[in-house]
Amino acid sequence: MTLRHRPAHEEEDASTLRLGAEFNNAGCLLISEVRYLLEHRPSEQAAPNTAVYNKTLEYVKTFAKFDKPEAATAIRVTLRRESALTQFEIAQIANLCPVTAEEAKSIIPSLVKIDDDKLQPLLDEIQTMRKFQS
Amino acid sequence: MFFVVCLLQHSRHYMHSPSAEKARTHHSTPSLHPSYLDPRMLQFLESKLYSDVEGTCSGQFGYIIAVISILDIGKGVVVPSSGQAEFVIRYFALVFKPFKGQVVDGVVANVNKMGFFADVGPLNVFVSHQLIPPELKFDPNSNPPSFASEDQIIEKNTRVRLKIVGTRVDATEIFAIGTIKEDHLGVID
Repeated sequence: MTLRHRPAHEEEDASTLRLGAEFNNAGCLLISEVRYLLEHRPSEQAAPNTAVYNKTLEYVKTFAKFDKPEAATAIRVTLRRESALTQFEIAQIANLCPVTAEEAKSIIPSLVKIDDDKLQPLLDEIQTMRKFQS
Repeated sequence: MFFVVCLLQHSRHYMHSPSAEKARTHHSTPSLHPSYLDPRMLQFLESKLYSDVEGTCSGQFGYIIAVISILDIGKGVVVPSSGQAEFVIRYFALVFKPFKGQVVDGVVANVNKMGFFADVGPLNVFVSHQLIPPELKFDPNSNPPSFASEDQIIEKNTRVRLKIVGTRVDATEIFAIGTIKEDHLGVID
């Protein structure tokens, strides 16, 4: 058994936003955005027939909260207004759609840094946008 | 979590098949004429990239689901005493990497008395019975097998919200353990 010379991997923890050097500034995608990406591949490029790809496609079709790419963009614009939110937190809020600030802080612990009276209106707006998708 | 990341792939390719064949058997250096960098070879390198990389998994980047676009293919550098040139390809890939402490949604794939397995995209997460609230009890008589309480049931195809409590990576797969024994986790209607 080789020794792991990467203790950094053991320290990764989403609840404290420790994602590892590769992802700290990476673009996190909404599940809805991933669905759009997978369903709109350039026609010359055949979809890989791997279990990973097929399971992912099935997953994003099941759990995408927003049907149209415009809706996903609108969600990003709304959440970007809160500058303290990281890419990871924005994606988690949009993917999980918590209803209350209390729920949000429970399932996305790093959100404790944001006051409820700033967080709740954002969550309400997302619920509204979900409800009124055409 | 799904990410788009820029990755590097070192891809080896025979500069020119017939003379490489010759090189291997007769130990002669193949010609390095730039005309070998033709569209066919670039296309070959692209499809080699797709087949080498899509569907693979690493501890560093998680599951590589698909190549999104190729940024550039570097100049081939000949590997000494072989008929091969090495190309460094930069590309954008869609990856999925799970993190300890992350809450995710998934679909139950199977249930047994030790707990249940849920599919979260390409990842399979095991939730042990010890991390399932005690009101949900394994029902050995149900078909399909399930964990059931008075008002909820967990069986194949049930949607659940779970928190990843640990991950382990081996050469080709990530193993994850999850819990539903916290607030706001469990069966999703």
